[in-house]
Amino acid sequence: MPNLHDIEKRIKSVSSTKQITRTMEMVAGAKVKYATERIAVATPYAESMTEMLQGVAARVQASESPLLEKRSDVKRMLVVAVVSDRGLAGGFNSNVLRTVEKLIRAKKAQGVEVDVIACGKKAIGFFKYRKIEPVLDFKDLSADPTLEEANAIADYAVKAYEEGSIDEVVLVYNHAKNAAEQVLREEVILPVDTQAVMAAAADPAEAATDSVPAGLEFEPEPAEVLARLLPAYLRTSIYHALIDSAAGEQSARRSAMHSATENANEMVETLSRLYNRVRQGAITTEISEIVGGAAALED
Amino acid sequence: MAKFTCDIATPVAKCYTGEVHYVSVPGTEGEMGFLSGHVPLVSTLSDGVVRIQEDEGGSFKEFAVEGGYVQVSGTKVIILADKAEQR
Repeated sequence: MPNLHDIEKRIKSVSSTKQITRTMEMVAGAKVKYATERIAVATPYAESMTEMLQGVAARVQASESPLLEKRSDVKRMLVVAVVSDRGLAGGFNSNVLRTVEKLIRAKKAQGVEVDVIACGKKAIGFFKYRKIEPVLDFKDLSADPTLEEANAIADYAVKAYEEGSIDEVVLVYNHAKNAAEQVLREEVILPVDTQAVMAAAADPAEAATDSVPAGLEFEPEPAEVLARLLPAYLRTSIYHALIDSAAGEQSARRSAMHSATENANEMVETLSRLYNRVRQGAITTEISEIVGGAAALED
Repeated sequence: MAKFTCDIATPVAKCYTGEVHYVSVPGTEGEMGFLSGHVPLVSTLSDGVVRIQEDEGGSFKEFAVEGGYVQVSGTKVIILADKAEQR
């Protein structure tokens, strides 16, 4: 029979943990709102950028910009892993990191060298432990990604791609599908796939194709516009992925903490029941001892 | 004269949206002005000032932009900039 005092101590400790998880749930809930608003503000820019790129891409050949050219022989690739700085968010970080690790292993088996850019402390720790040195790392920014961070990643990727030291760039992050669900996304951001850009636009707004009529003029030449537009497009996609991941992190943490709180509630309930049963058992034993003792005296 | 929609967007905010009469932008190959019904056009911008006139003969609103692009379609002018600020 467990000791009454021990059960009491356990109930106390579970309750205080519950207090923490509940607070974290509420804090994350408040941050979700902020992060979603930030996405809403950034969306018009990203949409217009995509629309503009479509207009340009429809009129130029892939050979006009090195960033559009797909290389048949991939020797070295760059993986950008976007996770958070903090844990306690369920499978949020491990999903991305496991996917990246699998990707690295698969590519290595094909004889492809893989470089990694780690965004978020969790990614840095994960790769350092596995003796993979990230070429770039960013920390303390996962909750508040900055444009500078996105620009640094994009600039590095563009430069390396143009030099030919890297033949493909893949972005792995969590997309905040809605307040309760995150979807893992793996996107090839370099070379820019104009076909995919065109296809992506086809569904959100068919108006997009109408608003870019055939007689479109360019100033300066299409190729020059493209040369400036593509890096900007890349920066936008990366920034969008970062803020998307930040929103996903908060909602993942909220649901993780929500179920932790529920589990704690359940545990407290079971423990209280046990506590009461043990206490009642002790009283019953005591009474029967007294009755037994009294009966022995009477005889 | 007819008006058209003009948006100024940056990655972190939408700075301006509204019905306007005239917009001038600092194109890389020189200043450009748009009125309603302008030929569709895409251009890069140099750092400079975007000027918006909401009513014919009215006063100008000025925005300083950095690293921008402009897209003009028949009824809409979209200005994208890395940074933009109203003066």
